[in-house]
Amino acid sequence: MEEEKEREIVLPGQIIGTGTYKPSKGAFKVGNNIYASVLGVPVIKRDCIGVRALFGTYIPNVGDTVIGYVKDVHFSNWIIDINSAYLAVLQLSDATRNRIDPLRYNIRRIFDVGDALIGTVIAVTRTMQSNITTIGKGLGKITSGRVVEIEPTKVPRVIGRKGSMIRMIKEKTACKILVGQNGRVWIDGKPEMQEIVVKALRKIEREAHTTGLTNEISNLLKEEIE
Amino acid sequence: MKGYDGPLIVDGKRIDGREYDEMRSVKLEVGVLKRADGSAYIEMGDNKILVAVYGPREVHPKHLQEPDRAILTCRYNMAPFSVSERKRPGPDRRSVEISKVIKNALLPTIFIEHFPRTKVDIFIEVLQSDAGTRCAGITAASLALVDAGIPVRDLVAAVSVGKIEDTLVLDLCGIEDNYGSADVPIAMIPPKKEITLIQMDGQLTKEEFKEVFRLANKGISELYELQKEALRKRCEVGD
Repeated sequence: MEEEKEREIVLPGQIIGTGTYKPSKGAFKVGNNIYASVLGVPVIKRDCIGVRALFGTYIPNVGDTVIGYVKDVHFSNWIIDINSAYLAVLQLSDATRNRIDPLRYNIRRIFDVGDALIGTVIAVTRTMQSNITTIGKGLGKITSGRVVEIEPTKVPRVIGRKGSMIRMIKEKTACKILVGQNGRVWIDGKPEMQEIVVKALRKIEREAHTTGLTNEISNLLKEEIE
Repeated sequence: MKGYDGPLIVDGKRIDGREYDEMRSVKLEVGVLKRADGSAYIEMGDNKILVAVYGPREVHPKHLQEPDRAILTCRYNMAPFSVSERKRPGPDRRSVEISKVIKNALLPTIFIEHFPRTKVDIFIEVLQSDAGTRCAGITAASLALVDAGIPVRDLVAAVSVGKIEDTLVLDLCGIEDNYGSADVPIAMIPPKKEITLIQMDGQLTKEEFKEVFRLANKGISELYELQKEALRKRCEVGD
């Protein structure tokens, strides 16, 4: 599956592979060589080689779970701010399973301007117009807890290897946490526990490049909870 | 700097004690500004330049956006206190031209087609100037772009080569620039030796021009190593 070379950092323009691989995100091919186009860690996935960027803004991808804010409401769709250079569109038919006639029903009663929601990106066109859906398990309007923002490039670190980091934080603080790929994190639980989660997130963000972070966070949580 | 009439070369050395093919000392730092998406700082001799990069972000006004690629804007600006005689603040004929050539020097390396309908802004602020600011600006801006996570084909480095008293020298300082007879700033994508900027002020023979490239190549390879080192350092520090 996903193989990661041990924290070896590559620079843009550096050769990271040869023609037997295909370039994926953060890589490009010239002749028979594959070069990195961003500063980051090379990632090999089956026959594709790419680079996981260390810096950068969020760009939507199909399948990403994101946390967005409703920016505008149209006749039968919503414009969602997903912490990116691109806005996403939420169609009425992707928002609810119920059949709703927008002529008779004010769709602001489903989502209004300023509402926070959890959605999944279902389509991204070549011009980066993206659609999201709120139909599905765990998706929909956020009605409790809080949303904090972290750097989108630090999301994999917050989740940890196979979700180890986030699972540990959830268990120790008894909070519900959802990390959106766009760098927004929803936390719900006891207010004092929420504070601790935010503290842990900030520490991960600050020290994302260090090793043995899971243990350090474990210690931090232990201290804070006592 | 006013009214210098001494020799520019003494005993085979330049006025600041450098060899003909020696660059000024260079200090590069990446990620110096917290609020910018990417940033870099360069000190090249007495030049002190700060570069900030923002983006990819939404384009305003909307009609300027391109449906198939990002647009790049570049602003080169000199601080009023960057030169010995106070510079009138704001853009002038010179800085508008330099902004444009810097933009064109960086554009071929950036994958602008990856971010349609967006904009990338580069701000180059010259805090202290001593000749060769456009070159130093390009060298730093290239790093700031990488720091912002914008995909690029490679880094760009730039250096100027000039002629003083009929001798070709690398990386002119202020006095050499003012009293020399030619100045050629060159920007290059170092591993491919692709030139993205070349300007010339003064006159050179064909042979001299070839020597200019040899010197520029040397300077740019040195800068390229320093750039890579600065980026590696950025990763160690994190934020």
